[in-house]
Amino acid sequence: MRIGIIAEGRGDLAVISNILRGRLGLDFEDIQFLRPQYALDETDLHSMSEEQFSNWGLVKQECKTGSLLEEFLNSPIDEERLVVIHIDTAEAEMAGYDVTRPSGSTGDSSIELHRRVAAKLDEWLSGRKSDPFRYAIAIEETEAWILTLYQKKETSTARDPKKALKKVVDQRHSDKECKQLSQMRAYEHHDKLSRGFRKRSTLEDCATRNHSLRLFLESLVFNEEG
Amino acid sequence: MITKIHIQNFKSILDYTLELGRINVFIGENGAGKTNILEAFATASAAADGTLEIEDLYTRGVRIAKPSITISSFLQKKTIQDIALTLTAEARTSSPDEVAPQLDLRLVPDASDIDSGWRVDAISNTLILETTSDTAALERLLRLLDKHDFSKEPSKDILKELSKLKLKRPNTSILQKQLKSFCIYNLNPLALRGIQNTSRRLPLGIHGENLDVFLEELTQAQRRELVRYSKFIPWFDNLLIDTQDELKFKGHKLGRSTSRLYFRDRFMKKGNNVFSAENANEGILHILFYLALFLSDKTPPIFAIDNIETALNPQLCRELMKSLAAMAKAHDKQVLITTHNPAILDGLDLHDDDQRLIVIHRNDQGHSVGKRIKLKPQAKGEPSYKLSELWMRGHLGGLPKAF
Repeated sequence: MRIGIIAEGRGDLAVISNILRGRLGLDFEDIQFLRPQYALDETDLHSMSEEQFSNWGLVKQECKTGSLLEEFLNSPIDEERLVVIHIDTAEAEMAGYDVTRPSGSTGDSSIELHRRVAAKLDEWLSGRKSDPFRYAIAIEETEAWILTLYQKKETSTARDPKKALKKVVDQRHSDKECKQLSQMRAYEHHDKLSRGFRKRSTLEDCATRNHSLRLFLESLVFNEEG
Repeated sequence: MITKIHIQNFKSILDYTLELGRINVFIGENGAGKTNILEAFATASAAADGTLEIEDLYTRGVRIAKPSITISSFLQKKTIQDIALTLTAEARTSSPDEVAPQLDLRLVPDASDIDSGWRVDAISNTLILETTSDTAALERLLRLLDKHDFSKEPSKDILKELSKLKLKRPNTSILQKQLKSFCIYNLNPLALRGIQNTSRRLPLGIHGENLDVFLEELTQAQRRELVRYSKFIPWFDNLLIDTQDELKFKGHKLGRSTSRLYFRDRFMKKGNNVFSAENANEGILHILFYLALFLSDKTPPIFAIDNIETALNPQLCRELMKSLAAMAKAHDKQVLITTHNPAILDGLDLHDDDQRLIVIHRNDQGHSVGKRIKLKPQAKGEPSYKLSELWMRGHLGGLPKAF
């Protein structure tokens, strides 16, 4: 099996790859990054900012146009293929994303937010068969998923997961390690912090502390059995 | 043809079985283990030939290291102190009674010193039953084996019945013969130009040595075939071998080269259109070497080429690969090729089972493993991305992505 990933950013690719490796026992080689685009060359990238090739808007664009999805799923290579689509909910209310955030900050409201974003992805993908797609909807950001590796309480309701993760990582690491982490590129940084997900038992334990992570893992059960 | 190799504990390969076609192209990241597969073949070849000295391995193109480094040594894995290589060849007939020749090799370091070598502990210990055996004796034996407790030594009755059967070793000599001259070619422009002469292997050195002498010894028919295939180089008119060194004395070769190979350029004026191998572009020398290697019956029946794309234009890579695939079939050669150039893939026809593309990678434990790329049957004839594009767009794997 080969799994393609469409994600908002390169750090998200690292986190989802580690989850797929832990959940499905896949080799890294069986994972293909579809977006953010690695197909761009340095000449193209010269005049682009990070946001231009790494944001939720590009996930939406890809879902709607489907060029990379189609290319991946209709590849002439004879193997089973799936696509994981990642999106954060942090910017759900923005124009174009257009998901109304439920009131409150309880676990129930995050479950509802997840449902609304999933419905939005369905809308963006409308007209396509749903079988080959799995949603990795992170409430609010994938940093909330990583946070489950570092704290024992529920992380779904963390208001600023990035900040919370930085705080806990700073506490756990020496100054030298923190400096090294801060100098890493997004992919390397998130890969290092989320490496624990490659171990299945750890991943399952973490999923008990984040509803959206749990839903993502559950969406992969069928593939594991199949 | 060799149809399968099972490699255990060899460098980055912990345990991997590779099924082979006639043309086998390996792609993968740097350090994935492509060349290790070629070296496992070369080591098996040397072991089967009883020549496992450092020099023997070196002349076959193996990168030499002391045995403890050659044996796999992975973190969190107990190191096994030998290398196991099992090769299976194609059965000569399609008869179900014929057992495919198999060669089992177990290589053990003969000491732990820095300069220690290898000894081969076992070659084909498997015995097979001849079809002419007494079937009644076979049935009696099977009945006895059925009741036997395999944790104990065989009984006298079993041994007695066993002795009545005609057992033979599989026909490994064919396999050993095919493998005997296996080596890894890895061309070097200085060797091709006749300036450096480090490989003494005959008839062609593993870096490209001796090309002029080899070309001179081709038959007329072989020379014509070679020139015909060389036509995809626009400027190439013909090649000359100056056996008497007359051109040297006319000033066509002033450098250090000992090669007597010259080329005629179709665009240059007569009298001024001949130049030596030392002055030729690198691409033509590589192409001539490969063409000669494939069309001659004096070169090994099975061999490997490491980094075939060196010095070649992408389109030329495609044409060369296509030509070599055709020549391998015509001249009964089997080859293992590594490449980092996507254009090589465009010369392959993956709908032909003889032509195989294998992606080598290190799995999450760091072990080298491979995956054969197969196309969907319905993809035949349908417009699609070229294989080179599929590789570059990530569909085949074999690309680093953790950036």
